[in-house]
Amino acid sequence: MDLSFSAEDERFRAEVRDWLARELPAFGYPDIDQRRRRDPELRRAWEDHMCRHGWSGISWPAEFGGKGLPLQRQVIFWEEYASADAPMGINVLGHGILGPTLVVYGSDEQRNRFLPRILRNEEIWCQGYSEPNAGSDLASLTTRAERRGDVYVLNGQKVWTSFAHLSDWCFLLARTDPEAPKHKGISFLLVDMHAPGVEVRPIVQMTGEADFNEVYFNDVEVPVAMRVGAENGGWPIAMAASAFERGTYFIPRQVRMQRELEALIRLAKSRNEGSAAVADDPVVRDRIARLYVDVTVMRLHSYRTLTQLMTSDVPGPESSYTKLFWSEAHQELMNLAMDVLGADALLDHEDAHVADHGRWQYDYLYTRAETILAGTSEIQRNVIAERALGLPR
Amino acid sequence: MYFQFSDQQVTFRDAIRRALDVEMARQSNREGEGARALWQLAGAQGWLGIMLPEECGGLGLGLCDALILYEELGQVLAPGPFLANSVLLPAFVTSCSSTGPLDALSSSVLAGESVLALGEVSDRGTIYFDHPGLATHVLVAPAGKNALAIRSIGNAKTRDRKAFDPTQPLAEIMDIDDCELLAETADCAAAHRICDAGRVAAAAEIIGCCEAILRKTVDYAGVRHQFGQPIGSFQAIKHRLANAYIRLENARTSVYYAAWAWDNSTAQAELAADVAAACAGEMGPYLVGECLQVHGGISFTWESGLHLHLRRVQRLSRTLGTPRRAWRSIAERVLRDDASALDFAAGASAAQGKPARQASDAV
Repeated sequence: MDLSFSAEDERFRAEVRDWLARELPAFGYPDIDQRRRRDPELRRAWEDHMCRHGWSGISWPAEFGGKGLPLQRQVIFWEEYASADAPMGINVLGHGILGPTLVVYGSDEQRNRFLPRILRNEEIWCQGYSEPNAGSDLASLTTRAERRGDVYVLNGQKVWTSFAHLSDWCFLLARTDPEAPKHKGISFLLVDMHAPGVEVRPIVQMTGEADFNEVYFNDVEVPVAMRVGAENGGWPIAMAASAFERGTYFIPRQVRMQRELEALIRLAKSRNEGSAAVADDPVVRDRIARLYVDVTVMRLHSYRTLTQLMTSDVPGPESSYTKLFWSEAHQELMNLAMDVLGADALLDHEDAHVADHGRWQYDYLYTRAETILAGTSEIQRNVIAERALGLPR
Repeated sequence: MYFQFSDQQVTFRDAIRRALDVEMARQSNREGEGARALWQLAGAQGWLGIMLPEECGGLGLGLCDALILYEELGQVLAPGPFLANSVLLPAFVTSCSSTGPLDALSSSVLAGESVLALGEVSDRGTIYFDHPGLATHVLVAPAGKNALAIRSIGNAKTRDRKAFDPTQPLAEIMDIDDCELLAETADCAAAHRICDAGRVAAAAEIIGCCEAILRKTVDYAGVRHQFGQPIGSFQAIKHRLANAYIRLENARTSVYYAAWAWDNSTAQAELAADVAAACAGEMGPYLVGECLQVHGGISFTWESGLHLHLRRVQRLSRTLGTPRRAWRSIAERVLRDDASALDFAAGASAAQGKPARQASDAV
């Protein structure tokens, strides 16, 4: 067993760390007001800057314009990224899912048309999967793409579409054969969000802003050349697409959680109840100890996953375990934060006097979505039971 | 970066597993009488000397390799005072500078002539120790001292007790002063280091024990039919076992890390041992409880043998310290003013001391 990285990898780590330390302050990070940190325009500006300086396509093969970094360097990159408190961009879906999907499944025309613009962050992507009647049961989706000559005519509605209001393109799943069994009648389409018939309506989130949307498609024409893979072969592509980032997707979220725990400990030490600090309360101490163990174990587990991917690359149900564990631990952390805040928890995150710019209230609310998005905890448990344990379907 | 067992370590594990399967199948009675036969096998296979330095006749390997043995021992609920002889004694030997009496004891243990038992002070001041039929020496933490002592049992008066875990028979030494002192740790640090090795190995045994009963439970859920389908197809069962699997893998990760940290004497090694002890110590009874639940009524019978897993993990979770103490220790370290406790990655990339040999290094 060896938990160290090579000297060359550590030099790469230092390179990333130094670059981030030099470049982030011009954008206000890491000390930026927690409210401003989430501003999509600021995040886009930072993302553009990263792409201009070559920090895009880190997992893409070099022949498609990427950096082609080996997996352990991708891990190191994301560890340093989150350690530096750099913000997540708004084109995560383009860089992380659609790009790698086109690399593997796209036509030459699609790759040439789209990949360079993702790498330069010129086109923002959203993902059109969920529908009002198709959430966990995504395969039951009914958005219809009817073939007429060399176009599909798209009609239907998507929901929870993050940043659709800022997006140029959408990769979506639509039904091209209503007669086939549900998994076998779906196609993977690339849709121009500025095309006639596309209507975006914002949905206000529990947290107050409207980062996600309903998207309506009314007789939108999608060229057949914008279909990825075979007609009715979209479901396996979507499944493969979700696995592209499995070794790295949660790394920045886990590291961020480590930083959040450190901040929570500082909060608990600085708050008093009577003559003692909240951090002296044995119940609080026990909960902090448990969160420390959760965070440590999840970070270490990612190294087990990394080793498995480097040695065999056989996909397992690792991402289900990782997502489930992280999202539930994150909720517990924010639950504890609300407890530690005491009377300050009465204030909304947008109040002028709220502690820590309202980060705890905001994240407490946001974590309610994390056990639902990207596969609910119930679905993840089913996947673990069936694929990791082999229980009958 | 390589955070799993090497091919050589997997081969090592498979050899242990095969030998244990054959021996345990031969043993008809799990309640204590198979221990001597298994002990002889262990001696012949070299398991007792895994962590002993080569100059003492051992393999000179580290805790990362020893935990392979412990997972396998846990899988089959192997009887025997393995921890004291194959982990605590070697750790004692390498922690102490003057080792004359301990060298003699180690050789004697490897030859099967002496057997060390782990002792625990009872609330009456007597010393509980296991496998009275085998034990010639006892290792115990003297009351009120942050030290460990090895004493020979000799003719000291002992009394048999009925053990909660019947696979590990128990007795008590009425007066520890009747046992001649052989060696004592010189300082706190040595005592803690020896205990940490023991706690991590015990945690590894919990992992093996839990993996075995979880596997049995998944199999059962696939064949037991109710309401026209295997009970494993019901979500309540799936979710219960998925939760158990998550906790098992978390504990496993913490144990592997703690073993690596101990072998490399990293700055976080003590905290890592606390984490492994806390994680595995709590996970064990929880997971076995979930497996019993899925088995339904038969889980409550003596004959099913499932209760033996529960008894074993209870005992293991309290070896050399309780989960409760481990959690308290974690809180103390994490909440100290020294915030570097949280940066385990710093410890990982800057390992101090010479890394221990591992089976993967063997020619």
